[in-house]
Amino acid sequence: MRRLLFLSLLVYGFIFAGLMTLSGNVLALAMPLVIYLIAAFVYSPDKPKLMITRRMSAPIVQHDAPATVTLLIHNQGEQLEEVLLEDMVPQGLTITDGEAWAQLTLPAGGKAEFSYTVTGQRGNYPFRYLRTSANEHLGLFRHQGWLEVAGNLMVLPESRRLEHLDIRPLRTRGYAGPIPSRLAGSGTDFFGVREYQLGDPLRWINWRAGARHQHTLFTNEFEMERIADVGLILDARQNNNVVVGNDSLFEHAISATAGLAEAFLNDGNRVGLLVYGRGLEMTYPGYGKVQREHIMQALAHARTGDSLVFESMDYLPVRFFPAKSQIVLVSPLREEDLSILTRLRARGYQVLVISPDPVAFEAQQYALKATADASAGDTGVQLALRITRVERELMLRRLRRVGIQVINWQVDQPFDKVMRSALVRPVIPTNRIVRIER
Amino acid sequence: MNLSTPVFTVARIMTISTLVATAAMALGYGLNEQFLGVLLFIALGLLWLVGQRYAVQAFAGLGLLGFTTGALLGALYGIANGWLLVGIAAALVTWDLHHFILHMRVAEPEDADNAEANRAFANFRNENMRALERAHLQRLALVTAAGLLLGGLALTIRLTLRFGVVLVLGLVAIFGLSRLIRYLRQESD
Repeated sequence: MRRLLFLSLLVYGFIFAGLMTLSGNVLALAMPLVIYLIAAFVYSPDKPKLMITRRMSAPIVQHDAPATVTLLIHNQGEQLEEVLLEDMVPQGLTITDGEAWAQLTLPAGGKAEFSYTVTGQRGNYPFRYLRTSANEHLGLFRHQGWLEVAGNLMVLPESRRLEHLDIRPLRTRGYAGPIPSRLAGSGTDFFGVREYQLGDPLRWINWRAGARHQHTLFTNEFEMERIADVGLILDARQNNNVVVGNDSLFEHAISATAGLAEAFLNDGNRVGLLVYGRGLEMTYPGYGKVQREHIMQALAHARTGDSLVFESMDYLPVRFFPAKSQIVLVSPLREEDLSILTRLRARGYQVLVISPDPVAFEAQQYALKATADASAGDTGVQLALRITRVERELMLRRLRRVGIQVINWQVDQPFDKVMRSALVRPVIPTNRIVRIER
Repeated sequence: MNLSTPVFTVARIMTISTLVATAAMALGYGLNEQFLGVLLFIALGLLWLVGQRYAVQAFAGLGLLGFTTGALLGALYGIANGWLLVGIAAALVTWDLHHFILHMRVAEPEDADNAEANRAFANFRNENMRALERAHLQRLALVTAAGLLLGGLALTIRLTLRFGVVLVLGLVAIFGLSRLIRYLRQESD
């Protein structure tokens, strides 16, 4: 537009000077500029009538996996000598291949397409608008506008693969699974001995017990293994999140929750998710791969948030979780949360707290600073760190005292390793089982 | 960003047209023994080349303004009009191509090892871009040739304008200007 104005002013300057001096030569010198203007005006484009369709290679992709966005363009209007189409890529996505724009010539009824590849961090990325700019070849007359070409890309969170996790809720469900149910029946682990009943398999008869009692036989009982209800709670309260540079403690909590959900679902359990922070974002309990997708999508959407109502955990909807089921809370924790956790425990829930350590997380940053400038203030920081660590340790100890299993996770350590050492039932190789003979 | 690269036809034509514009104006002024004008146009031409090298958009406008003002003054001081016409036409080509290159976002990769820049460079080389480049050059060549032809004709055909004709031309110019302003307002809305 400024070019058109500039050129027009030059032409008018020549005409004005020519008329003022009554010199035809001056007017003649303006001729190339005038012809240029006229040519641009004659070929100036109409308002573009474009029909654009967006195609995604996959609407949902794994963390850091590439997704290809293809735009199909159909010109339903007059010929467009030059049209620039620029896709507005949502913030957070990185273009790894191709370009999100194309400059094309489109004949009337012509079709074209262009594509580019993006990758991104966990999240939901809605694509909305495409900027169009059509002009003639000389670029003086231009039509600019926006076209709404909706699309959506969801990047699932990074999931840390975990082995079977050993949990023991008070109540299990009716289907066979890997969790000891505290009930006698068919299983592998020894549970007790009862009097022999007709129909019991002979190999279950406890001959040693029978030898001690005349005319009575005893049968071994095994602990039934069932699936359980597992409720995952992800703490998304803004105040509990610690952000150091580009790294956020919440992101670690998300990937841990994703790993836990996957592990519990792989074991056949019924798993639900509650994201507690901005509000209550619930994924109702379910089984299998579909539930895995639901949970992953909920985690992809999860954001920290501030809410006066949900500032404390007092409004945790306990009824969301079946009675006496397993609850897993992923939270950095704060002092006020102890009461609600204690109440949950008192109601018969088996509570497991996985607490990404905010003190250690923040301390890393201070440690880096301390090495960068060894100034006098560092001793104060060290002291503050020690006090905070002690406070946190005391808080965790109080939780353990009420029977809550707490895993203090320093996020620089691999989550699977931490979980393995804390929860995974050790498998003893058969050659290392020592039989104690009396 | 380096635009003066022998790789691109457009960039090459732009450099040549700058040199032609400078040479035509300098020759016109030189033949009329206006040596200060020669020096000024050589300086302006060099400055414009530097502006092209570093892709400074403002230099395009300044360059064309300088050359057209020089041509206008030259016409008033009696410099041979042929040189001035060629100078203006060449300056117009340079101005157009300078904007065209910036518009097409083309740039020679500064770092040969930079994969990103190489990819952008390869992108430019795709067929679509080359077709646009060809179409632009064709249109520009036609427009410049027509401008030179009509300008040359206007310089050779002598007409004496009466006051009434001048008045009508003036009114047409004012009408055209008002139409242009209206168009620009519509576009900005």
